[in-house]
Amino acid sequence: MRRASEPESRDWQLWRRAVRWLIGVAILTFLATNGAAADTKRILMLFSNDSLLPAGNAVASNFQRTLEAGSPERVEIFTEFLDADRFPGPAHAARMESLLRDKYASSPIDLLVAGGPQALDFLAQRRASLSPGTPLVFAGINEGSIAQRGVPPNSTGIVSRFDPVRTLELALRLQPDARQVVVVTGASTFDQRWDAVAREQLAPYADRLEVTHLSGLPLPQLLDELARLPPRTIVIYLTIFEDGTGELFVPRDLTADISAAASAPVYGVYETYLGRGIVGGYMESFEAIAREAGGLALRILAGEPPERLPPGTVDSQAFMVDWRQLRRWGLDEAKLPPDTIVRFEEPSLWQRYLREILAVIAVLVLQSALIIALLVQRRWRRFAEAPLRESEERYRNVVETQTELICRYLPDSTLTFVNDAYCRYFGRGRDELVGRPFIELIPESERAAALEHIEAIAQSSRGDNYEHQVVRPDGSFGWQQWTDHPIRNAEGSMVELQGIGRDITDLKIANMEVEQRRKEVTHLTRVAILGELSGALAHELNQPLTAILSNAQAAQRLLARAPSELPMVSEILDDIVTDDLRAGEVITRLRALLKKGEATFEPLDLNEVATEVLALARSELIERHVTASTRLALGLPRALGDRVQLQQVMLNLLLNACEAVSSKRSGERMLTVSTALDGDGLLLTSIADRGSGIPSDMADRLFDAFFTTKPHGLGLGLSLCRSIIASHGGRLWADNNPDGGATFTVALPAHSGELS
Amino acid sequence: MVDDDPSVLRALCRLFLAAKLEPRAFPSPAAFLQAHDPATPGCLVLDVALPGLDGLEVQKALSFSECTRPIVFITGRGDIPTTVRAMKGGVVDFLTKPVNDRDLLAAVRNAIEIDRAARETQVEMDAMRQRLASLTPRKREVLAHVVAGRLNKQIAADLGTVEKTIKVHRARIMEKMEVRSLADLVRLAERLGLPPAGGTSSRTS
Repeated sequence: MRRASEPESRDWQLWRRAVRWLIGVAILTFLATNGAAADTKRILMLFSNDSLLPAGNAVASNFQRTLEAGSPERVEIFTEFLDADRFPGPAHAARMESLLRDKYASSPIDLLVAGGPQALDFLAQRRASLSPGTPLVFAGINEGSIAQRGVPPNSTGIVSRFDPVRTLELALRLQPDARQVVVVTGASTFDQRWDAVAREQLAPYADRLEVTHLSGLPLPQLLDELARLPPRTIVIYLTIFEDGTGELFVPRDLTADISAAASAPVYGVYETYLGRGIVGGYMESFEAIAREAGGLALRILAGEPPERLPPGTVDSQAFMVDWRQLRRWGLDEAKLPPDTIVRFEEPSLWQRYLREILAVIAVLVLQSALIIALLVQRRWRRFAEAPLRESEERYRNVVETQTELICRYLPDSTLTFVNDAYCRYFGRGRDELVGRPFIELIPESERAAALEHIEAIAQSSRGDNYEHQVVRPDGSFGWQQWTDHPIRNAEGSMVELQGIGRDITDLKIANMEVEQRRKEVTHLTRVAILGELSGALAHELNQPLTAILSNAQAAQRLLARAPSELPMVSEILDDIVTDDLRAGEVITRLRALLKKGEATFEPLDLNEVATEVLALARSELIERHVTASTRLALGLPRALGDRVQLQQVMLNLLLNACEAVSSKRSGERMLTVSTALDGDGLLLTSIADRGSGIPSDMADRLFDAFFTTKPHGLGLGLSLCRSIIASHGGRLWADNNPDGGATFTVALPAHSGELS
Repeated sequence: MVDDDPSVLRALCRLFLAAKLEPRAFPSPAAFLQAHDPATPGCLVLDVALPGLDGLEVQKALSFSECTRPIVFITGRGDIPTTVRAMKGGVVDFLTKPVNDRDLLAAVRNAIEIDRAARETQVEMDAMRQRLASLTPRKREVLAHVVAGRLNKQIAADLGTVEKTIKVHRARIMEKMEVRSLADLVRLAERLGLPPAGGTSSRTS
């Protein structure tokens, strides 16, 4: 409910305005129409037959057109149909009269039009009750019919005639091989008259054709004769108002019988015959009739009395054929004269259902177009998607066909996706793996570390390599190496992790074996070095042993001599203990060097290590007459390393240095062992000799494996030294000294706990 | 004793002391050579492998200075080449460490004995030389002829003097040289390395 205080909405305003406008228009229209009422001429057209006859429609519409074009006033035409052929008899006529009378009671008719003889009769008889005094125009009535009835008063019209010659022409065109022409007429005066006319007009054809006249025969006989006609015959049916027995007919009505009975094509002269079985003929057209009738009507409406307008004839006639009869007799449409009017053309399936067919075609075309469009679109989409699909394919291929394991998992290690290789590796189906934490597949001892690793990845954004053991389906342990990285959603928070892994069990085993071999080689070279020092080492042991022996034997003698020598014996015993321990140390050191163990890293004082090495090699140095001097820096931070391995390196370098100076004279064999801390915080241990230096062509190969200058050397020493130092995180290199000889330097990082 | 290992030196010292010998210890060959007094009787106990001069070189050094002190080598190395070299140089004995006291003492005593004997001989020789030097030139001439085995008569004739004088020379020579018989004189002359006079001897020295 709209409240009064509210302003009217725009929509409501528009609606009200539209309604007012419409009302105005309606009023004006009404006024217009009613105002013109006085100037309108009303014409009642009554046709003999039903409304669907094309002839009637053609006449009516042409008549209307003529009237509308020619009338100064407005013309209103009412069409009515007697349908006299289907509803003959007075009862129907009476009904029609009554209907018309009632219908047009309040519409005064200015002109009556009768189409066809039955309509003329009806109107002529009953015009008084329908519309007295109204003039009448008739059309579609032939000469014979008018002659019979006579022209009613206050009437005029168009009378149709016929032309048998032209009709024959048409027939000859269609049947060029015809040999006989049969002219059919009745027995009445009118019939006979036309028969005589026909005979006369067709006489010129007598030399070409046999002209036979079947005239005035009783109908059954006529039909019989017609049925027995030879081929290549033309039948021209004129009129039969009365047959040989005196029976009266409407010529038109016999058309069907005649045509049905005849064994040859029948041609007629009246348009009314057309459609009842005749092939065709030269006839007046309905349009022409209607036009002429319309012309008469206009003149009457204009005021001319019908008496002054005698019934006229139509000028224009035309060839007309019934298409159905052409088909019936197999006559070629192409032989027709030009401008022939073809009636009753049954449109071919094509023509009849043109609209339907077109519609179907249209639908089909549309459908096809749609299908094509869809197909094209699909192909185009496929084409566009091809790269995407290809890359998806490739990705899927990569994921599924490769031997690397791919999986995705949640931070608690629950698997969300595993590829084929993964399933195959663990010998389980996808459904067994997805949904379970992969931690289960790792040996217990490594689980905690693995979970920690997952957390670490979750924090960082880059992937990381990680190795861990797994339990294989056969129960054995394998090694895997994984590269994991987090998968983040649009907001940047981690939803899953993706891992790509490979089995490195073989690799690991191989590495471990290599490591083992390396240790063995390291050990063996150490043993070899010590072998070289064996003489020297023996000497090292010998000294304490000599002392012990001599001490002990001295003690024996002393004790044998006099007990008062006890203080000396006590001293002796002290010394024995010391020397024994000394010997033990040498043994221990030796044993340490000979041990084939894992490298144990510990903080080392490099000066200590150097000193021990010199002690080990002392006898060797003495024997070779090599003078070793030391320049050990004080206060050095400690290095982190394996004592035995570093001693091995220094020993090797030391012995090499001895070798290098061996060619010099006895008093000139010198080497220096020094330690220092360099500017970068590295601990440097150098062994410098006064030999002949490193030849330039050997400089590159010095540290290569199997490179040696010794005749019986393996050449593994320096390369092994380098790898040992490398495993300590240091470097080993050699330089030539400016004043002769070479220096080998080992640089080691200081132990991180030591740096101040 | 020379050894660079102090405990070895100490032990050996004690051993020698226990054996009633007089050890004198030096930690290095240099120290030893510096303090070395050739007049002191005794032997040298030496390790071959010594820093600086090794034992063999000490041996050489001593022989250069015409000191014939007998050496006993003891060493931690027992390699043959060293042994051979040492032996060629005239080493009394070569022992390997650890050294047994009996072996060491035996070798040392032997060496001391050799040294003593050598010294004695040296003293004798010195005396003999002294006596020889005390002879007049004439007498030395006569001596040469006498040890050649010439008769007094012959000698007199050679030297242009009478037999009698020769006889007197002979007696005085014998007395001065402190020998009793001609044979001793000859031996002495040999020992002193005097060449016999005359062209009859075909002895090659």
